[in-house]
Amino acid sequence: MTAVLEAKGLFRRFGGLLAVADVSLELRVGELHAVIGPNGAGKSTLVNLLAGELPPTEGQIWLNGADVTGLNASRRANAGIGRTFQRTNAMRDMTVLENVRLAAQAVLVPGRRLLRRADHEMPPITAALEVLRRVGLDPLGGQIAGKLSHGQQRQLEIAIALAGQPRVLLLDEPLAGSGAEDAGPIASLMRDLAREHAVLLVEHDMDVVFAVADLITVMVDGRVLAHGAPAEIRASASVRDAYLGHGVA
Amino acid sequence: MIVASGRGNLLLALAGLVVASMPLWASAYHLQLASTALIAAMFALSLQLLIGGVGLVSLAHAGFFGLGAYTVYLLGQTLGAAPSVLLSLPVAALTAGAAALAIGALALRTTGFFFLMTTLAFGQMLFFLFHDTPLGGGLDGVFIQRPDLLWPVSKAARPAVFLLLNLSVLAAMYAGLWALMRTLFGHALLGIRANEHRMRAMGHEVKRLKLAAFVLAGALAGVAGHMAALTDAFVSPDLLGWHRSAEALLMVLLGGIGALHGPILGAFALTLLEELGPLITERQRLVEGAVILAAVLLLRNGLAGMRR
Repeated sequence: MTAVLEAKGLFRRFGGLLAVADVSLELRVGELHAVIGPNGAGKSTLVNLLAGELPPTEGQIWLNGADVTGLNASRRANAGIGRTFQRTNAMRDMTVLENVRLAAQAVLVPGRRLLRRADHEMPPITAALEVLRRVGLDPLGGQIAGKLSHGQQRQLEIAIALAGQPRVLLLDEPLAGSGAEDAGPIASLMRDLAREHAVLLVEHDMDVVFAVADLITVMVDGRVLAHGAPAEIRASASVRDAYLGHGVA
Repeated sequence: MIVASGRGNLLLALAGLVVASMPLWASAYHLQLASTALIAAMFALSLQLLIGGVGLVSLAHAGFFGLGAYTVYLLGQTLGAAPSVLLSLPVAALTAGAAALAIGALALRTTGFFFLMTTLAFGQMLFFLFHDTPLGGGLDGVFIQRPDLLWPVSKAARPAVFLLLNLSVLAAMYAGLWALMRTLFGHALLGIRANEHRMRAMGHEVKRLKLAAFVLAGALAGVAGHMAALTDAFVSPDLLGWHRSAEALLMVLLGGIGALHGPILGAFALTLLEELGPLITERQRLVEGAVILAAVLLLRNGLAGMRR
């Protein structure tokens, strides 16, 4: 299967710091591609480059064969790239449903329809309800987003990313700050999402990563140290030395 | 921003009826005072679209108000006769809206504090355009011919007619904005106010939405300025001064950022305060300052938040 999202030779420099150096990767529908590495390895910067939040210093990004390197975050969201943030980034005073509905509106409603009443325009509402069901937040649609539990906020983060019906999902530490009780449901949700989306997962919880990933890229100091199936990564001596430590293998 | 419920709108309509009945029981002086408050309310309400609606604080707003007022003067100069209100009102709105488009397109490249300063600069440029060039007809202001209403109005009937006219324009503006905030566009504006960064990541055209709100708010400020020129038959560069923008900001703050109708309450409260202050002391600004300070400190959601 051909890659939906393809990045070649990405570099990102912050002053004297090379945060991402010569990273290339391909994301395919049906594949969950995890990126792991120690803090400061450039994983979040990589997500921001792919999402259009930051322009790369060098390198190119293609989505469905079209060069999207020059598109900003808003355009890329419309082109089919959805993302979550490490720290929940929602409209805290609005309801869960309105958060997800706004995300669906951004992609599903063309500009000329913007003067219709929000509660009469069904496509974004339907899409939002569908997504809330999918992530398991449907009983909480009327709840104020800021009042959700931490685990529920992580689910909302995924729901917002899904609402625009993207082909590519960039999940930036979806389990950040979650306890073990939240990890299970979100892990199985990710597995489920990978069937219809090309998923990139940045995550620190190695148990989850090795349980759900089809492919793993290991980054250290902005560079790709290793790339392969979970079993290969687990067996790789260089990865063990650089990052995983001896307890994992 | 809270858009008033059915009951809230009923209360507003009742207040409107009380104002509409004023010609039956109030003096000409008080009718004029009420018109002043209604025009201030239009102006503050147009600013509320920016502040409460999308989270933009602009100090150029008086520029659009003054531009709407001066449109009446310039139109009269060009035509050599008083224009019909059916012409002057839309031209005032379009002129102010066009200026807002040009200024907004540049100013919205900045955010936060820099946006505030940029709008201040543009507002002052508009001020000096009318203050220091022959265009404005003099720095002390100029008396103008009122636009023709659809029927002749005697001098004695003017205060009452203008009051009802201003009340109608304010009511239409409120109803329009109330409906607008319920549209997909209105919801997107509130989303930007709540979390601009996330809205962009979702795929919203944040800059375009902000510009649309800025242009609409500018056009509505132009309408308010037009009504001021029509009511007072006088325009002066002072109308465009940045302190006018600040005054509208105070009205919004006093009335409540969190409610669409807040600025209407704020405008009436401030007009009343300016009227009553001199009765208490010669230092009326001191009274105003104290009341505003108390309101901002004690009423977190302004006057509109008192009911809750």
